[in-house]
Amino acid sequence: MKRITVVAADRKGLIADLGELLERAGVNINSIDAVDEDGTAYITLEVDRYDETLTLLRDGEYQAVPEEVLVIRIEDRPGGLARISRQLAESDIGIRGITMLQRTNGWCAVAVATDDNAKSRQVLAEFVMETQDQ
Amino acid sequence: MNTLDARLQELLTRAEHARDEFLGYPVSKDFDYSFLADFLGVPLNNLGDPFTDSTWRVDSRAIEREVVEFFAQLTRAPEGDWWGYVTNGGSESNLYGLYLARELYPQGIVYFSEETHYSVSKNLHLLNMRHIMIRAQDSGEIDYDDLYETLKLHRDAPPIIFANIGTTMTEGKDDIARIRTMLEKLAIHQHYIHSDAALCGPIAPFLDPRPAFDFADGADSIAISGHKFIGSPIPCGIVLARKRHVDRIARSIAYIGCLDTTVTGSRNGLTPIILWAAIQRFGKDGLRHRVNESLELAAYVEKRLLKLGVAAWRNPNALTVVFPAVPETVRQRWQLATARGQSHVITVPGVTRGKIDLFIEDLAAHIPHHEERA
Repeated sequence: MKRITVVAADRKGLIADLGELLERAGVNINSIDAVDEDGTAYITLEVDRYDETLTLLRDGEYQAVPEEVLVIRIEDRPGGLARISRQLAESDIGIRGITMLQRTNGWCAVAVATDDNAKSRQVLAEFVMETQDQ
Repeated sequence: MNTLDARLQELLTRAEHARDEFLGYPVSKDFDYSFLADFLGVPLNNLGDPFTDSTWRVDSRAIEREVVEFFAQLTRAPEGDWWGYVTNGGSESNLYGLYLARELYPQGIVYFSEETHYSVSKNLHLLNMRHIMIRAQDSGEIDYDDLYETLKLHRDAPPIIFANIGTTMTEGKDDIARIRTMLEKLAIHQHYIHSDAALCGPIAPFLDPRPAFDFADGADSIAISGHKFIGSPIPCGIVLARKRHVDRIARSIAYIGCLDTTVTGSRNGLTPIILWAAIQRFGKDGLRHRVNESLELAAYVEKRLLKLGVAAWRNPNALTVVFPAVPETVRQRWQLATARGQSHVITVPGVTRGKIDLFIEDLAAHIPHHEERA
């Protein structure tokens, strides 16, 4: 089962809205887990229709990150991302892209795409925001 | 009137109304190119490289070369070492700049600020280029401390800097002279700088102080939009690059008898004529005047909003006036782009003081208990 992480500014009713959106489209949510960190919600979903769900979330203007990309949380300060990318490089992991998703209250949610996700998860374990085991 | 005519008339009326009302997009609307209508009866196609000969002659490539030369001069391109063509807009121009950078530095990493237009991420995906996003300041300008720290840790990979010369929301401008100094300080000799000057390319040369954005400041390639500040009924743009970079990726396309270094091959032959006509109409002095008028109007918008008690602001010498997101009805009526709690008005040519006054009145009516300040 593939996983999707939604990163959003936390608010009341966020998960309910998300659930309704997917329910209306007939998507079956196998699991949902959420955590709030300093005003940013990280919602991890496992669904039966992966590609369709990603499209639905995108069209609903949610920031949805596919399983192929890691979601991490780091302090929002100059060089913060550089240190992450350096850690990956020192572990011989090729970086495909590093993109900021949200910056709130001194923290930054970041999407990291590499050529070896399993190894990246290990290297960046302390920063990874996915809340379920694979 | 038959059904087809009625349908087209309806579409035209709707589009003209929408054109007259929008205030939040960087697209000039003070043009009339109907005198070029005869060209619609010709299958113009500027196949391939505008600077090489072609067996296909139903084109406007001679005029396109003049357009490119005009912008090369405007952006202080080095004598004898520039090349370019008319693209279908800023995104293609940026794609081309990044493509050149990738060919020169396949192992390079692209650095760009979080305020960068979304199309750049799409281009990076398309080109499969490694990239790291850098923080932006509130002004929209790149955070130089974050860039410095990141470059310092990745000195082994040639940096490809994607500089914004006017971000989408706030018109923040990255200073490429400052970035070059940074690269020198870090002793990074292999690097590439692309300037995305989609909106500000035809504006920045006339500003005082002149922003550091062009070839003389260290850019390797520059993207300029044709339909933004200049104005065009068809989206278009210009890409300019140092010729020595382009020569490295030139490839022969035998069947059209020319060297094609462009992205699309078959290319619009009408938009170079539109840009050429605009250049004839304005010239450099006309553009300068146009810039000054737009800046005056931006200052007027900012002043009116502040008087209304709206926390409006703009970057130095910017046409973009930024303010807290306005009510949905106002946003919809005036087509105000809104993101992360901010809306903006952009005073491109064609936006009039009269429309601004109507917008302010409309906004005032939607702000509870407002009091215009003296």
